[in-house]
Amino acid sequence: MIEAQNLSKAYKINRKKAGLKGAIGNLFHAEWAEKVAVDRLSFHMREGKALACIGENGAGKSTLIKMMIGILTPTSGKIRVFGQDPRRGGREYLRRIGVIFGQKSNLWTDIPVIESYHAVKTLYKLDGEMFRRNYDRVVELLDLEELLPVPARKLSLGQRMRADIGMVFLHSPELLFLDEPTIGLDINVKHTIRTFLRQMNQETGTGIFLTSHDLDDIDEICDDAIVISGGKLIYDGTLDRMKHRFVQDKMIQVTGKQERDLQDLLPSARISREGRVTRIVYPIQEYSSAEVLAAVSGCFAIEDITIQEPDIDEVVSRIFGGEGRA
Amino acid sequence: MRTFWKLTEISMQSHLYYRTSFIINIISPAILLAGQYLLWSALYAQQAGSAIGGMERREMFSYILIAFAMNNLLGWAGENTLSREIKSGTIVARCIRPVSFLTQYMAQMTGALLLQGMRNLVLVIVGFACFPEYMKIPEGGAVLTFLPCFLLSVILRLMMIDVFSLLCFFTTGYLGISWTRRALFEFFSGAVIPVVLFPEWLKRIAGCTPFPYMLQAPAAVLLGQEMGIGLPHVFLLQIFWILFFLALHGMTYGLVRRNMTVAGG
Repeated sequence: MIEAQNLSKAYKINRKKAGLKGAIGNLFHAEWAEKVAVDRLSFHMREGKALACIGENGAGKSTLIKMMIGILTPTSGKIRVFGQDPRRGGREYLRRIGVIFGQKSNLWTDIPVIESYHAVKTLYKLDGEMFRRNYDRVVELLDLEELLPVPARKLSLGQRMRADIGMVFLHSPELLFLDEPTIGLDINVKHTIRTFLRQMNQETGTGIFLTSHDLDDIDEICDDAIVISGGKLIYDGTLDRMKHRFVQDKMIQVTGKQERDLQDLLPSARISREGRVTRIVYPIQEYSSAEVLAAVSGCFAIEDITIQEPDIDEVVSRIFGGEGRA
Repeated sequence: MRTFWKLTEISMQSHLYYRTSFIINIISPAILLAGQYLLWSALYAQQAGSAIGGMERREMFSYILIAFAMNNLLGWAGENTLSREIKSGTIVARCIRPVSFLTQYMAQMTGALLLQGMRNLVLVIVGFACFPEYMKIPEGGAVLTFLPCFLLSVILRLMMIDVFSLLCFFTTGYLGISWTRRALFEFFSGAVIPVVLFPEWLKRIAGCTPFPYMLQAPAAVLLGQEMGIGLPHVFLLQIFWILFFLALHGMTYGLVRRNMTVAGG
Protein backbone atom coordinates (compact mmCIF):
# COMPACT_ATOMS: atom_id res chain seq x y z
CA MET A 1 0.00 0.00 0.00
CA ILE A 2 2.78 2.44 0.99
CA GLU A 3 6.40 1.91 -0.03
CA ALA A 4 9.09 4.47 0.78
CA GLN A 5 12.67 4.03 -0.35
CA ASN A 6 15.45 6.33 0.80
CA LEU A 7 12.96 9.14 0.98
CA SER A 8 14.41 12.55 1.84
CA LYS A 9 13.08 16.06 2.05
CA ALA A 10 15.18 19.14 2.73
CA TYR A 11 13.78 22.64 3.12
CA LYS A 12 15.55 25.88 2.39
CA ILE A 13 15.08 28.11 5.39
CA ASN A 14 15.59 31.85 5.36
CA ARG A 15 17.67 32.66 8.42
CA LYS A 16 16.44 35.99 9.68
CA LYS A 17 18.76 38.10 11.79
CA ALA A 18 17.48 39.31 15.15
CA GLY A 19 16.31 42.81 16.00
CA LEU A 20 15.28 45.80 13.92
CA LYS A 21 18.77 46.19 12.44
CA GLY A 22 18.68 42.55 11.44
CA ALA A 23 15.21 42.93 9.91
CA ILE A 24 16.40 45.86 7.79
CA GLY A 25 19.53 43.91 6.85
CA ASN A 26 17.37 40.99 5.75
CA LEU A 27 15.75 43.21 3.13
CA PHE A 28 19.08 43.47 1.34
CA HIS A 29 20.79 40.21 2.14
CA ALA A 30 19.00 36.92 2.71
CA GLU A 31 20.83 34.02 4.33
CA TRP A 32 19.62 30.57 3.46
CA ALA A 33 20.20 27.34 5.29
CA GLU A 34 19.13 23.81 4.47
CA LYS A 35 17.13 21.78 6.96
CA VAL A 36 16.73 18.09 6.38
CA ALA A 37 13.24 17.18 7.59
CA VAL A 38 13.21 13.58 6.34
CA ASP A 39 16.46 11.74 5.89
CA ARG A 40 16.70 8.59 3.71
CA LEU A 41 13.61 6.97 5.17
CA SER A 42 12.59 3.49 4.00
CA PHE A 43 9.55 1.60 5.23
CA HIS A 44 6.43 -0.07 3.94
CA MET A 45 2.86 -0.42 5.08
CA ARG A 46 0.63 -3.29 4.01
CA GLU A 47 -2.96 -2.94 2.83
CA GLY A 48 -5.59 -2.47 5.54
CA LYS A 49 -3.01 -2.05 8.31
CA ALA A 50 -2.86 0.69 10.91
CA LEU A 51 0.67 2.08 11.13
CA ALA A 52 1.77 4.64 13.70
CA CYS A 53 4.49 7.14 13.05
CA ILE A 54 6.10 8.19 16.31
CA GLY A 55 8.51 11.07 16.67
CA GLU A 56 9.31 14.21 18.61
CA ASN A 57 8.16 17.66 17.46
CA GLY A 58 9.95 18.52 14.25
CA ALA A 59 10.98 14.91 13.62
CA GLY A 60 9.57 15.04 10.09
CA LYS A 61 6.23 13.24 10.60
CA SER A 62 4.04 15.87 8.97
CA THR A 63 6.48 16.34 6.11
CA LEU A 64 6.34 12.60 5.54
CA ILE A 65 2.54 12.68 5.36
CA LYS A 66 2.60 15.65 2.98
CA MET A 67 4.90 13.73 0.66
CA MET A 68 2.66 10.68 0.83
CA ILE A 69 -0.44 12.66 -0.09
CA GLY A 70 1.41 14.26 -2.97
CA ILE A 71 1.55 17.91 -1.98
CA LEU A 72 5.29 18.01 -1.23
CA THR A 73 7.97 16.89 -3.63
CA PRO A 74 10.68 14.67 -2.11
CA THR A 75 14.22 15.99 -2.49
CA SER A 76 15.36 12.45 -3.25
CA GLY A 77 14.22 8.86 -2.92
CA LYS A 78 10.97 7.21 -3.94
CA ILE A 79 7.50 7.03 -2.50
CA ARG A 80 4.76 4.79 -3.88
CA VAL A 81 1.20 4.59 -2.59
CA PHE A 82 -1.06 2.02 -4.27
CA GLY A 83 1.96 1.37 -6.49
CA GLN A 84 2.09 4.88 -7.91
CA ASP A 85 3.80 8.18 -7.26
CA PRO A 86 1.32 10.26 -5.23
CA ARG A 87 2.27 13.40 -7.13
CA ARG A 88 1.27 11.81 -10.39
CA GLY A 89 -1.86 10.12 -9.08
CA GLY A 90 -4.01 13.18 -9.67
CA ARG A 91 -7.68 13.31 -8.76
CA GLU A 92 -8.09 9.54 -8.94
CA TYR A 93 -5.48 9.13 -6.19
CA LEU A 94 -7.09 11.83 -4.06
CA ARG A 95 -10.41 9.99 -4.30
CA ARG A 96 -8.78 6.90 -2.79
CA ILE A 97 -7.28 8.61 0.24
CA GLY A 98 -8.49 10.69 3.14
CA VAL A 99 -6.42 13.22 5.06
CA ILE A 100 -6.87 14.83 8.45
CA PHE A 101 -4.52 17.38 9.92
CA GLY A 102 -5.47 17.85 13.56
CA GLN A 103 -4.72 21.55 13.56
CA LYS A 104 -6.41 22.33 10.24
CA SER A 105 -9.98 21.71 9.26
CA ASN A 106 -11.12 20.42 5.89
CA LEU A 107 -14.65 21.66 6.52
CA TRP A 108 -15.86 24.86 4.89
CA THR A 109 -15.94 27.12 7.91
CA ASP A 110 -18.87 29.40 7.10
CA ILE A 111 -21.48 26.85 6.07
CA PRO A 112 -23.30 24.22 8.15
CA VAL A 113 -21.50 20.89 8.53
CA ILE A 114 -24.24 19.08 6.61
CA GLU A 115 -23.58 21.30 3.60
CA SER A 116 -19.88 20.48 3.71
CA TYR A 117 -20.92 16.82 3.67
CA HIS A 118 -23.16 17.37 0.65
CA ALA A 119 -20.33 19.23 -1.07
CA VAL A 120 -18.16 16.13 -0.59
CA LYS A 121 -20.85 14.10 -2.33
CA THR A 122 -20.63 16.39 -5.37
CA LEU A 123 -16.84 16.83 -5.37
CA TYR A 124 -16.12 13.11 -5.06
CA LYS A 125 -18.98 12.25 -7.45
CA LEU A 126 -20.46 9.77 -4.94
CA ASP A 127 -23.56 7.81 -5.81
CA GLY A 128 -26.56 8.51 -3.59
CA GLU A 129 -26.73 5.11 -1.95
CA MET A 130 -23.06 4.96 -0.99
CA PHE A 131 -23.16 8.49 0.36
CA ARG A 132 -26.27 7.77 2.41
CA ARG A 133 -24.78 4.59 3.87
CA ASN A 134 -21.55 6.30 4.91
CA TYR A 135 -23.37 9.39 6.08
CA ASP A 136 -25.72 7.43 8.34
CA ARG A 137 -22.83 5.44 9.71
CA VAL A 138 -20.59 8.39 10.64
CA VAL A 139 -23.49 10.40 12.03
CA GLU A 140 -24.43 7.52 14.30
CA LEU A 141 -20.96 6.40 15.38
CA LEU A 142 -19.58 9.89 15.92
CA ASP A 143 -22.84 11.25 17.35
CA LEU A 144 -22.97 14.10 14.85
CA GLU A 145 -26.72 14.72 14.58
CA GLU A 146 -26.67 17.93 16.63
CA LEU A 147 -23.63 19.31 14.85
CA LEU A 148 -24.96 19.00 11.31
CA PRO A 149 -26.86 22.32 11.11
CA VAL A 150 -24.05 24.30 12.79
CA PRO A 151 -21.41 26.17 10.73
CA ALA A 152 -17.94 24.71 11.39
CA ARG A 153 -16.77 28.11 12.62
CA LYS A 154 -19.05 27.78 15.65
CA LEU A 155 -18.00 24.27 16.68
CA SER A 156 -15.71 23.55 19.60
CA LEU A 157 -12.38 21.88 18.81
CA GLY A 158 -13.68 18.43 19.73
CA GLN A 159 -16.92 18.86 17.78
CA ARG A 160 -15.02 20.15 14.77
CA MET A 161 -12.67 17.19 14.82
CA ARG A 162 -15.58 14.74 15.04
CA ALA A 163 -17.19 16.48 12.09
CA ASP A 164 -13.89 16.45 10.19
CA ILE A 165 -13.35 12.75 10.82
CA GLY A 166 -16.91 12.00 9.79
CA MET A 167 -16.40 13.92 6.56
CA VAL A 168 -13.25 12.06 5.61
CA PHE A 169 -15.09 8.72 5.68
CA LEU A 170 -17.92 9.82 3.39
CA HIS A 171 -16.09 8.84 0.22
CA SER A 172 -14.92 5.47 1.62
CA PRO A 173 -11.18 6.13 1.44
CA GLU A 174 -8.96 3.06 1.15
CA LEU A 175 -6.19 4.78 3.06
CA LEU A 176 -6.36 7.44 5.71
CA PHE A 177 -3.56 9.79 6.74
CA LEU A 178 -4.10 11.22 10.19
CA ASP A 179 -1.74 13.85 11.53
CA GLU A 180 -2.34 14.27 15.26
CA PRO A 181 -6.10 13.87 15.03
CA THR A 182 -6.72 14.08 18.78
CA ILE A 183 -4.54 17.06 19.59
CA GLY A 184 -6.12 19.27 22.24
CA LEU A 185 -9.22 17.10 22.67
CA ASP A 186 -10.76 15.98 25.95
CA ILE A 187 -10.68 12.36 27.03
CA ASN A 188 -14.27 11.56 25.96
CA VAL A 189 -13.83 12.88 22.43
CA LYS A 190 -10.48 11.10 22.16
CA HIS A 191 -12.15 7.87 23.17
CA THR A 192 -14.98 8.33 20.65
CA ILE A 193 -12.51 9.04 17.85
CA ARG A 194 -10.16 6.17 18.69
CA THR A 195 -13.01 3.68 18.94
CA PHE A 196 -14.44 4.88 15.63
CA LEU A 197 -11.10 4.73 13.82
CA ARG A 198 -10.32 1.28 15.14
CA GLN A 199 -13.76 0.07 14.14
CA MET A 200 -13.45 1.49 10.62
CA ASN A 201 -10.00 -0.06 10.25
CA GLN A 202 -11.22 -3.48 11.30
CA GLU A 203 -14.64 -3.49 9.62
CA THR A 204 -13.97 -1.74 6.34
CA GLY A 205 -10.24 -2.46 6.02
CA THR A 206 -9.38 1.23 5.68
CA GLY A 207 -5.61 1.55 6.05
CA ILE A 208 -4.51 4.11 8.63
CA PHE A 209 -1.24 6.01 8.78
CA LEU A 210 -1.30 7.85 12.07
CA THR A 211 1.01 10.35 13.70
CA SER A 212 0.20 11.36 17.23
CA HIS A 213 1.85 12.57 20.38
CA ASP A 214 -0.88 10.87 22.33
CA LEU A 215 0.53 7.42 22.75
CA ASP A 216 -2.81 6.03 23.83
CA ASP A 217 -4.08 6.85 20.30
CA ILE A 218 -1.29 4.74 18.91
CA ASP A 219 -1.79 1.93 21.37
CA GLU A 220 -5.54 1.73 20.69
CA ILE A 221 -5.54 2.20 16.92
CA CYS A 222 -2.31 0.74 15.54
CA ASP A 223 -0.56 -2.61 15.41
CA ASP A 224 2.67 -1.48 13.79
CA ALA A 225 4.90 1.53 14.22
CA ILE A 226 7.79 3.39 12.75
CA VAL A 227 9.80 5.72 14.93
CA ILE A 228 11.63 8.66 13.43
CA SER A 229 14.01 11.04 15.06
CA GLY A 230 15.70 13.95 13.33
CA GLY A 231 14.17 12.72 10.08
CA LYS A 232 15.83 9.29 10.39
CA LEU A 233 14.12 5.97 10.90
CA ILE A 234 15.09 4.38 14.17
CA TYR A 235 12.47 1.65 14.45
CA ASP A 236 10.17 -0.21 12.08
CA GLY A 237 8.08 -3.14 13.36
CA THR A 238 5.18 -4.11 15.56
CA LEU A 239 4.19 -2.05 18.59
CA ASP A 240 4.61 -5.11 20.80
CA ARG A 241 8.15 -5.74 19.61
CA MET A 242 8.94 -2.07 20.09
CA LYS A 243 7.75 -2.19 23.67
CA HIS A 244 9.87 -5.20 24.43
CA ARG A 245 12.90 -3.87 22.64
CA PHE A 246 13.01 -0.62 24.53
CA VAL A 247 11.73 -1.67 27.92
CA GLN A 248 13.98 -3.50 30.32
CA ASP A 249 11.50 -4.04 33.14
CA LYS A 250 8.11 -5.61 33.63
CA MET A 251 5.88 -5.49 36.65
CA ILE A 252 3.76 -8.11 38.39
CA GLN A 253 1.18 -7.04 40.92
CA VAL A 254 0.05 -9.61 43.46
CA THR A 255 -2.79 -9.35 45.94
CA GLY A 256 -2.64 -11.83 48.84
CA LYS A 257 -0.79 -12.84 51.95
CA GLN A 258 2.98 -13.17 51.67
CA GLU A 259 4.22 -16.44 53.20
CA ARG A 260 7.92 -16.40 52.26
CA ASP A 261 10.51 -13.77 51.38
CA LEU A 262 10.60 -13.21 47.62
CA GLN A 263 13.76 -11.10 47.47
CA ASP A 264 15.91 -14.21 48.11
CA LEU A 265 14.51 -15.83 44.98
CA LEU A 266 14.62 -12.69 42.82
CA PRO A 267 17.57 -10.67 44.14
CA SER A 268 17.59 -8.23 41.18
CA ALA A 269 13.86 -7.41 41.44
CA ARG A 270 12.52 -4.26 43.12
CA ILE A 271 9.71 -5.21 45.49
CA SER A 272 7.35 -2.81 47.19
CA ARG A 273 4.33 -3.51 49.37
CA GLU A 274 1.23 -1.51 50.13
CA GLY A 275 -1.34 -3.25 52.32
CA ARG A 276 -2.20 -6.59 50.72
CA VAL A 277 -0.81 -5.52 47.32
CA THR A 278 2.80 -6.29 46.37
CA ARG A 279 4.48 -4.91 43.25
CA ILE A 280 7.45 -6.72 41.77
CA VAL A 281 9.43 -4.90 39.09
CA TYR A 282 11.90 -7.28 37.46
CA PRO A 283 14.49 -6.95 34.68
CA ILE A 284 13.36 -9.00 31.71
CA GLN A 285 16.98 -9.66 30.71
CA GLU A 286 17.49 -11.64 33.94
CA TYR A 287 14.16 -13.29 34.64
CA SER A 288 11.51 -14.70 32.36
CA SER A 289 7.87 -14.12 33.30
CA ALA A 290 7.53 -17.87 33.98
CA GLU A 291 10.40 -17.77 36.49
CA VAL A 292 8.90 -14.79 38.27
CA LEU A 293 5.43 -16.36 38.35
CA ALA A 294 6.86 -19.57 39.77
CA ALA A 295 8.69 -17.63 42.48
CA VAL A 296 5.61 -15.54 43.29
CA SER A 297 3.30 -18.55 43.53
CA GLY A 298 5.74 -20.17 45.96
CA CYS A 299 5.80 -17.11 48.22
CA PHE A 300 2.17 -15.85 48.19
CA ALA A 301 -1.30 -17.14 48.90
CA ILE A 302 -2.45 -15.49 45.70
CA GLU A 303 -5.91 -13.91 45.54
CA ASP A 304 -5.27 -11.91 42.39
CA ILE A 305 -2.33 -11.40 40.06
CA THR A 306 -1.70 -9.14 37.02
CA ILE A 307 1.29 -8.82 34.73
CA GLN A 308 1.65 -5.29 33.50
CA GLU A 309 2.91 -4.91 29.95
CA PRO A 310 5.32 -2.08 29.25
CA ASP A 311 3.54 1.24 28.91
CA ILE A 312 4.01 2.91 25.51
CA ASP A 313 4.68 6.27 27.15
CA GLU A 314 7.61 4.69 28.91
CA VAL A 315 8.81 3.11 25.68
CA VAL A 316 8.80 6.37 23.82
CA SER A 317 10.38 8.25 26.67
CA ARG A 318 13.18 5.68 26.64
CA ILE A 319 13.58 5.88 22.87
CA PHE A 320 13.87 9.65 22.81
CA GLY A 321 15.80 9.67 26.06
CA GLY A 322 18.65 8.23 24.04
CA GLU A 323 18.42 4.54 24.81
CA GLY A 324 16.75 3.72 21.52
CA ARG A 325 19.22 5.45 19.27
CA ALA A 326 21.69 3.34 17.44
CA MET B 1 -19.80 21.69 -14.09
CA ARG B 2 -21.78 20.50 -11.06
CA THR B 3 -18.58 20.65 -9.02
CA PHE B 4 -17.93 24.21 -10.17
CA TRP B 5 -21.41 25.40 -9.28
CA LYS B 6 -21.34 23.60 -5.93
CA LEU B 7 -18.14 25.43 -5.02
CA THR B 8 -19.57 28.69 -6.34
CA GLU B 9 -22.64 28.17 -4.18
CA ILE B 10 -20.45 27.55 -1.12
CA SER B 11 -18.48 30.70 -1.85
CA MET B 12 -21.70 32.73 -2.07
CA GLN B 13 -23.00 31.22 1.16
CA SER B 14 -19.72 32.08 2.89
CA HIS B 15 -19.98 35.69 1.77
CA LEU B 16 -23.61 35.92 2.85
CA TYR B 17 -22.70 34.50 6.27
CA TYR B 18 -21.27 37.88 7.28
CA ARG B 19 -24.46 39.95 7.12
CA THR B 20 -23.04 43.27 8.36
CA SER B 21 -20.15 43.09 5.97
CA PHE B 22 -22.55 42.28 3.13
CA ILE B 23 -24.72 45.30 3.92
CA ILE B 24 -21.72 47.65 4.28
CA ASN B 25 -20.54 46.47 0.88
CA ILE B 26 -23.81 47.70 -0.61
CA ILE B 27 -23.42 51.19 0.85
CA SER B 28 -19.68 51.88 0.54
CA PRO B 29 -19.46 51.70 -3.28
CA ALA B 30 -22.18 54.35 -3.56
CA ILE B 31 -19.99 56.70 -1.49
CA LEU B 32 -16.93 56.04 -3.67
CA LEU B 33 -19.03 56.56 -6.78
CA ALA B 34 -20.33 59.86 -5.44
CA GLY B 35 -16.70 60.95 -4.95
CA GLN B 36 -15.89 60.18 -8.57
CA TYR B 37 -19.00 62.02 -9.73
CA LEU B 38 -18.00 65.14 -7.79
CA LEU B 39 -14.44 65.02 -9.15
CA TRP B 40 -15.53 64.79 -12.77
CA SER B 41 -18.29 67.39 -12.21
CA ALA B 42 -15.64 69.83 -11.00
CA LEU B 43 -13.45 69.08 -14.04
CA TYR B 44 -16.36 69.59 -16.45
CA ALA B 45 -17.34 72.81 -14.64
CA GLN B 46 -13.84 74.15 -15.32
CA GLN B 47 -14.24 73.25 -19.00
CA ALA B 48 -17.48 75.27 -19.11
CA GLY B 49 -19.40 72.21 -20.25
CA SER B 50 -17.23 71.32 -23.25
CA ALA B 51 -16.02 67.76 -23.87
CA ILE B 52 -12.92 66.32 -22.19
CA GLY B 53 -10.88 64.08 -24.49
CA GLY B 54 -13.82 63.91 -26.86
CA MET B 55 -16.20 62.69 -24.13
CA GLU B 56 -19.30 64.74 -23.41
CA ARG B 57 -20.39 65.19 -19.80
CA ARG B 58 -23.33 62.74 -20.12
CA GLU B 59 -21.15 60.12 -21.76
CA MET B 60 -18.50 60.53 -19.08
CA PHE B 61 -20.97 60.07 -16.25
CA SER B 62 -22.31 56.90 -17.87
CA TYR B 63 -18.74 55.69 -18.31
CA ILE B 64 -17.92 56.40 -14.67
CA LEU B 65 -20.94 54.44 -13.51
CA ILE B 66 -20.26 51.45 -15.77
CA ALA B 67 -16.49 51.43 -15.17
CA PHE B 68 -17.05 51.67 -11.45
CA ALA B 69 -19.51 48.77 -11.47
CA MET B 70 -17.08 46.59 -13.44
CA ASN B 71 -14.00 47.58 -11.44
CA ASN B 72 -15.79 46.94 -8.19
CA LEU B 73 -16.71 43.37 -9.17
CA LEU B 74 -13.52 41.89 -7.76
CA GLY B 75 -11.63 43.49 -4.93
CA TRP B 76 -8.94 42.17 -2.65
CA ALA B 77 -10.53 38.78 -2.13
CA GLY B 78 -8.38 36.93 -4.67
CA GLU B 79 -4.91 37.29 -3.20
CA ASN B 80 -6.12 37.82 0.35
CA THR B 81 -7.99 34.52 0.62
CA LEU B 82 -5.17 32.48 -0.81
CA SER B 83 -2.44 34.22 1.17
CA ARG B 84 -4.39 33.65 4.41
CA GLU B 85 -4.67 29.95 3.59
CA ILE B 86 -0.97 29.73 2.74
CA LYS B 87 0.06 31.45 5.98
CA SER B 88 -2.14 29.24 8.15
CA GLY B 89 -1.39 26.05 6.21
CA THR B 90 -5.09 25.45 5.54
CA ILE B 91 -4.20 25.53 1.83
CA VAL B 92 -3.75 21.77 2.33
CA ALA B 93 -7.55 21.36 2.29
CA ARG B 94 -7.62 22.77 -1.25
CA CYS B 95 -4.76 20.52 -2.35
CA ILE B 96 -6.41 17.30 -1.19
CA ARG B 97 -9.77 17.82 -2.87
CA PRO B 98 -10.18 15.86 -6.09
CA VAL B 99 -10.84 19.06 -8.01
CA SER B 100 -8.26 21.10 -9.92
CA PHE B 101 -6.81 24.12 -8.17
CA LEU B 102 -7.99 26.41 -10.98
CA THR B 103 -11.57 25.13 -10.81
CA GLN B 104 -11.68 25.63 -7.06
CA TYR B 105 -10.22 29.09 -7.30
CA MET B 106 -12.41 30.22 -10.18
CA ALA B 107 -15.54 28.88 -8.49
CA GLN B 108 -14.68 30.68 -5.28
CA MET B 109 -14.05 33.96 -7.10
CA THR B 110 -17.19 33.52 -9.19
CA GLY B 111 -19.22 33.24 -6.00
CA ALA B 112 -17.83 36.56 -4.76
CA LEU B 113 -18.27 38.10 -8.18
CA LEU B 114 -21.90 37.06 -8.61
CA LEU B 115 -22.93 38.63 -5.31
CA GLN B 116 -21.04 41.82 -6.01
CA GLY B 117 -22.39 41.74 -9.57
CA MET B 118 -25.97 41.71 -8.30
CA ARG B 119 -25.32 44.70 -6.06
CA ASN B 120 -23.60 46.56 -8.87
CA LEU B 121 -26.38 45.80 -11.31
CA VAL B 122 -28.85 47.41 -8.90
CA LEU B 123 -26.52 50.41 -8.63
CA VAL B 124 -26.29 50.79 -12.42
CA ILE B 125 -30.04 50.40 -12.97
CA VAL B 126 -30.83 52.89 -10.19
CA GLY B 127 -28.21 55.28 -11.63
CA PHE B 128 -29.68 55.21 -15.13
CA ALA B 129 -33.28 55.21 -13.92
CA CYS B 130 -32.93 58.10 -11.47
CA PHE B 131 -30.63 60.40 -13.44
CA PRO B 132 -31.45 59.88 -17.13
CA GLU B 133 -30.88 63.55 -17.90
CA TYR B 134 -27.25 63.32 -16.74
CA MET B 135 -26.48 60.01 -18.45
CA LYS B 136 -26.10 58.60 -21.92
CA ILE B 137 -28.43 55.60 -21.89
CA PRO B 138 -26.99 52.54 -23.72
CA GLU B 139 -28.93 51.33 -26.75
CA GLY B 140 -30.53 47.87 -26.91
CA GLY B 141 -28.19 46.62 -29.67
CA ALA B 142 -25.14 47.83 -27.74
CA VAL B 143 -26.32 45.95 -24.66
CA LEU B 144 -26.53 42.71 -26.65
CA THR B 145 -22.97 43.15 -28.00
CA PHE B 146 -21.75 44.18 -24.58
CA LEU B 147 -22.83 40.93 -22.91
CA PRO B 148 -20.32 38.53 -24.58
CA CYS B 149 -17.60 41.18 -24.40
CA PHE B 150 -18.30 41.65 -20.70
CA LEU B 151 -18.33 37.88 -20.09
CA LEU B 152 -14.92 37.50 -21.74
CA SER B 153 -13.60 40.50 -19.79
CA VAL B 154 -14.68 38.86 -16.51
CA ILE B 155 -13.04 35.53 -17.40
CA LEU B 156 -9.88 37.38 -18.42
CA ARG B 157 -9.80 39.31 -15.19
CA LEU B 158 -10.40 36.19 -13.09
CA MET B 159 -7.52 34.47 -14.87
CA MET B 160 -5.24 37.43 -14.23
CA ILE B 161 -6.16 37.52 -10.53
CA ASP B 162 -5.58 33.76 -10.33
CA VAL B 163 -2.03 34.13 -11.68
CA PHE B 164 -1.25 37.02 -9.34
CA SER B 165 -2.71 35.04 -6.43
CA LEU B 166 -0.45 32.09 -7.19
CA LEU B 167 2.51 34.41 -6.61
CA CYS B 168 1.45 34.50 -2.95
CA PHE B 169 2.92 30.98 -2.67
CA PHE B 170 6.34 32.57 -3.19
CA THR B 171 5.83 35.73 -1.15
CA THR B 172 3.41 34.42 1.54
CA GLY B 173 2.08 37.97 2.02
CA TYR B 174 -0.49 39.36 -0.37
CA LEU B 175 -0.39 43.12 0.02
CA GLY B 176 2.51 43.85 -2.34
CA ILE B 177 1.09 41.57 -5.02
CA SER B 178 -2.45 42.83 -4.63
CA TRP B 179 -1.41 46.48 -4.72
CA THR B 180 0.68 45.91 -7.83
CA ARG B 181 -2.12 44.06 -9.59
CA ARG B 182 -4.70 46.68 -8.64
CA ALA B 183 -2.45 49.58 -9.58
CA LEU B 184 -1.71 48.09 -13.01
CA PHE B 185 -5.34 47.17 -13.59
CA GLU B 186 -6.89 50.42 -12.40
CA PHE B 187 -4.47 52.56 -14.38
CA PHE B 188 -4.28 50.70 -17.69
CA SER B 189 -7.86 49.36 -17.80
CA GLY B 190 -9.47 52.77 -17.71
CA ALA B 191 -11.11 52.14 -14.35
CA VAL B 192 -10.02 55.49 -12.95
CA ILE B 193 -9.29 57.55 -16.07
CA PRO B 194 -10.72 56.49 -19.45
CA VAL B 195 -7.94 55.26 -21.76
CA VAL B 196 -9.10 57.72 -24.43
CA LEU B 197 -7.75 60.51 -22.21
CA PHE B 198 -4.24 59.02 -22.18
CA PRO B 199 -1.54 60.61 -24.38
CA GLU B 200 -1.06 58.70 -27.62
CA TRP B 201 2.16 56.90 -26.54
CA LEU B 202 0.56 55.73 -23.28
CA LYS B 203 -2.53 54.61 -25.17
CA ARG B 204 -0.29 52.44 -27.35
CA ILE B 205 1.39 50.92 -24.30
CA ALA B 206 -1.99 50.24 -22.68
CA GLY B 207 -3.16 48.58 -25.89
CA CYS B 208 -0.30 46.08 -25.64
CA THR B 209 -1.43 44.99 -22.17
CA PRO B 210 -4.48 42.87 -21.32
CA PHE B 211 -5.94 45.50 -18.99
CA PRO B 212 -8.09 47.61 -21.40
CA TYR B 213 -9.84 44.42 -22.55
CA MET B 214 -10.99 43.83 -18.99
CA LEU B 215 -12.85 47.12 -18.62
CA GLN B 216 -12.35 49.85 -21.20
CA ALA B 217 -13.38 47.65 -24.13
CA PRO B 218 -16.72 46.38 -22.74
CA ALA B 219 -17.56 49.85 -21.40
CA ALA B 220 -16.84 51.37 -24.82
CA VAL B 221 -18.97 48.71 -26.52
CA LEU B 222 -21.89 49.49 -24.20
CA LEU B 223 -21.63 53.23 -24.77
CA GLY B 224 -21.03 52.87 -28.51
CA GLN B 225 -17.62 54.59 -28.30
CA GLU B 226 -14.90 54.41 -30.92
CA MET B 227 -12.24 51.86 -29.86
CA GLY B 228 -9.67 52.17 -32.60
CA ILE B 229 -10.08 48.46 -33.44
CA GLY B 230 -13.11 46.48 -34.63
CA LEU B 231 -15.31 44.43 -32.33
CA PRO B 232 -14.13 41.01 -33.69
CA HIS B 233 -10.59 42.16 -33.02
CA VAL B 234 -11.53 42.97 -29.42
CA PHE B 235 -13.05 39.52 -28.95
CA LEU B 236 -9.96 37.87 -30.41
CA LEU B 237 -7.64 39.85 -28.17
CA GLN B 238 -9.73 38.97 -25.13
CA ILE B 239 -9.53 35.26 -26.03
CA PHE B 240 -5.80 35.57 -26.69
CA TRP B 241 -5.16 37.09 -23.27
CA ILE B 242 -7.34 34.45 -21.58
CA LEU B 243 -5.24 31.71 -23.20
CA PHE B 244 -2.08 33.59 -22.27
CA PHE B 245 -3.06 33.67 -18.60
CA LEU B 246 -4.18 30.05 -18.77
CA ALA B 247 -0.69 29.09 -19.96
CA LEU B 248 0.86 31.31 -17.30
CA HIS B 249 -1.32 29.63 -14.69
CA GLY B 250 -0.05 26.21 -15.83
CA MET B 251 3.58 27.30 -15.60
CA THR B 252 3.22 29.09 -12.27
CA TYR B 253 1.20 26.30 -10.70
CA GLY B 254 3.81 23.78 -11.87
CA LEU B 255 6.48 25.84 -10.11
CA VAL B 256 4.31 26.10 -7.01
CA ARG B 257 3.83 22.32 -6.91
CA ARG B 258 7.55 21.68 -7.21
CA ASN B 259 8.58 24.20 -4.55
CA MET B 260 5.60 24.14 -2.25
CA THR B 261 6.10 24.23 1.49
CA VAL B 262 3.17 24.03 3.87
CA ALA B 263 3.24 26.11 7.00
CA GLY B 264 2.90 24.34 10.33
CA GLY B 265 2.90 20.70 11.34
